Amino acid sequence: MSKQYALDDPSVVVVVGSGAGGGTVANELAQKGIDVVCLEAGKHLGIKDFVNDPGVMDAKIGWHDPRKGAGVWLCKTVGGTTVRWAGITPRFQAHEFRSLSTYGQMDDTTLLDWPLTLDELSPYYDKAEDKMGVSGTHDIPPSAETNAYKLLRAGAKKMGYREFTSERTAINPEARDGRPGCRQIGFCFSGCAIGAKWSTLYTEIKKAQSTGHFEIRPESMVIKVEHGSDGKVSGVIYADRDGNIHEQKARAVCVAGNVVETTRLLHNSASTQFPQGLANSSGHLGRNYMRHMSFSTFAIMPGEVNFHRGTRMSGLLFDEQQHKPERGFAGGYLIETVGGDPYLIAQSVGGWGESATEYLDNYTRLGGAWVTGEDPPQSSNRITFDDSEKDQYGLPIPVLEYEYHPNSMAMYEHGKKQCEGLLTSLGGRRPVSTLGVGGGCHNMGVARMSDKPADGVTNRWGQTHDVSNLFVSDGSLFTTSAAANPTLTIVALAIRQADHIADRMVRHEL
Amino acid sequence: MAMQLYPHKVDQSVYADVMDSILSAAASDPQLQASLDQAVSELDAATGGDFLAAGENLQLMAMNGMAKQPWFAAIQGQVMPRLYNNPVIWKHIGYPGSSVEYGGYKDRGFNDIDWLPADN
Repeated sequence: MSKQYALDDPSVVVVVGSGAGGGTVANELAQKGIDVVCLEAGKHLGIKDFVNDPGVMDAKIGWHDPRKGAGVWLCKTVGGTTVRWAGITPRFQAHEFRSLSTYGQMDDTTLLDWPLTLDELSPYYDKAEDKMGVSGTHDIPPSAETNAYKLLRAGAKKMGYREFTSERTAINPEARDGRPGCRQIGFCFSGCAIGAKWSTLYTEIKKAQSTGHFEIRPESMVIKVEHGSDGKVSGVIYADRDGNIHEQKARAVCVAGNVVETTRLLHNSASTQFPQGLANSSGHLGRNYMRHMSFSTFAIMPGEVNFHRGTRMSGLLFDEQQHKPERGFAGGYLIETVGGDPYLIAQSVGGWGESATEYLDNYTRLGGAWVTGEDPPQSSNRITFDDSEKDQYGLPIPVLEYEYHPNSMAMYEHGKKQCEGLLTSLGGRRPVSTLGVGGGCHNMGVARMSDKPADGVTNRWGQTHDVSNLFVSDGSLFTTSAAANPTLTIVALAIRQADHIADRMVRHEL
Repeated sequence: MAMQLYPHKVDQSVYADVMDSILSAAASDPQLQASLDQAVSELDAATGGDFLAAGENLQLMAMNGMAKQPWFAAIQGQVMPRLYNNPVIWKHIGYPGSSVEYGGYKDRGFNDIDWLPADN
């Protein structure tokens, strides 16, 4: 079963992080017989540890180390943020890989075309959907139509929309791949208590363990990537649960700590040879940080909705996803179902007094919509470090600098009108939209892929331009954000990257 | 203040419990304690010396005047999770909490919405 590798074994690939990117690339490599050590900062919980209580679960799985600036909603646990995610898995559209060519130059952005196309990624989208059990693909039925979905669809029809679906969710509608079908429990964000939702915790990690080519080391916080005088990485330094420092030697390293930790690790690995941070000769590391234009709309509907019954998110509306510049902005957005526990709703509707309380008093009649839209990259949106303050690992505190671009504000105004219209068309009253709800779930950029080394940190395989055996394997790779929820694309890129790494090993290039 | 932030028609002991919990948290959080001290002194001053004894309208007027102050958001941020993770409030608004022990809602109304237009 699970293997153990020696710290001085230089033949292993080290994967930093065990979420959508790290967990997937680790398992794909192990399946090919490549030895992998996966270092994860968080604890190794099991499904039995998951309870239907968002507060309790946030304390168990959330990432609560000190950070400044814009908030992020991430996990520190084996499985990473796939333990908490909603499971929505739409593909990107062809033009979203060519944002600069399609939208043209836009002021104060660093728009760039991806160094790969939808056609090249499509076979990997296919594999990712099969792996994750995405509803409506690979003979998997659509997800069951929840109250929240039926409401969204009825409003969509009133608005003249046509492209709505309850497909494209990585939650088993029926038993598949050793996991049960969804029971409509309604606590997806607290960790799926039956394992119906895809999470690397009990899919990729478990499968990798059964190959005999994989070791997961939980509570292992990687603080530095080491390199030799040849400019290649040679291992990583990490702190174990007791704070003891170890070095794990490595043949290659894949970094997948989600954007904040990926940036911090490479930043902290600066050396005389790489004075701006490892693999940062371009100066782009930590920049072009994107997190989608996101907001929620809620309204008090004329009848019961009970959106707490069933999956947190269970349907999609694609009509506004296209690039239609006549709307007054570039790119598009997706409208998705949403629900939440009372605390989440109180946060989302905002305000106080009788006006806020009326929403909560009508909790069972609330209807909602959530939007994720393309967020153009800006060099000034970035992750920096406050060297005056250190955390428990002795690392500088990350500072997330983020401002919406005017394009995102124009998109928000449009989306708000549409979502409020959708709910009021069904008799909803007091619609309230709040920009930023859900912001910090989708984190992208900071080590973006580019054809030219001067334009980004990584190439079309996620290999860093500067260091041939150092890879980035998470959403940090995204050249631009597209509109869609990012996890499916992270998984597709990770599968593709594993193929590439294996191929280069066979050719003795790694 | 908790009651005026979210005035649900529930037993007032809920709000007292919320404030007790915040006060005990403040014992080991000097910043929160400072916010609470500031809230008490400013709200009292704006309501003739005793916020708790003031009428509802006067209380609301005082709070409206202070809603933009940092301590206001700090206290609201403490009240919100304690109130909305409280089973008494849940029962009042119709939220049942944990569902996995009942097998989720697969057989208990996850798709029972019945008032939408007929063509849906």
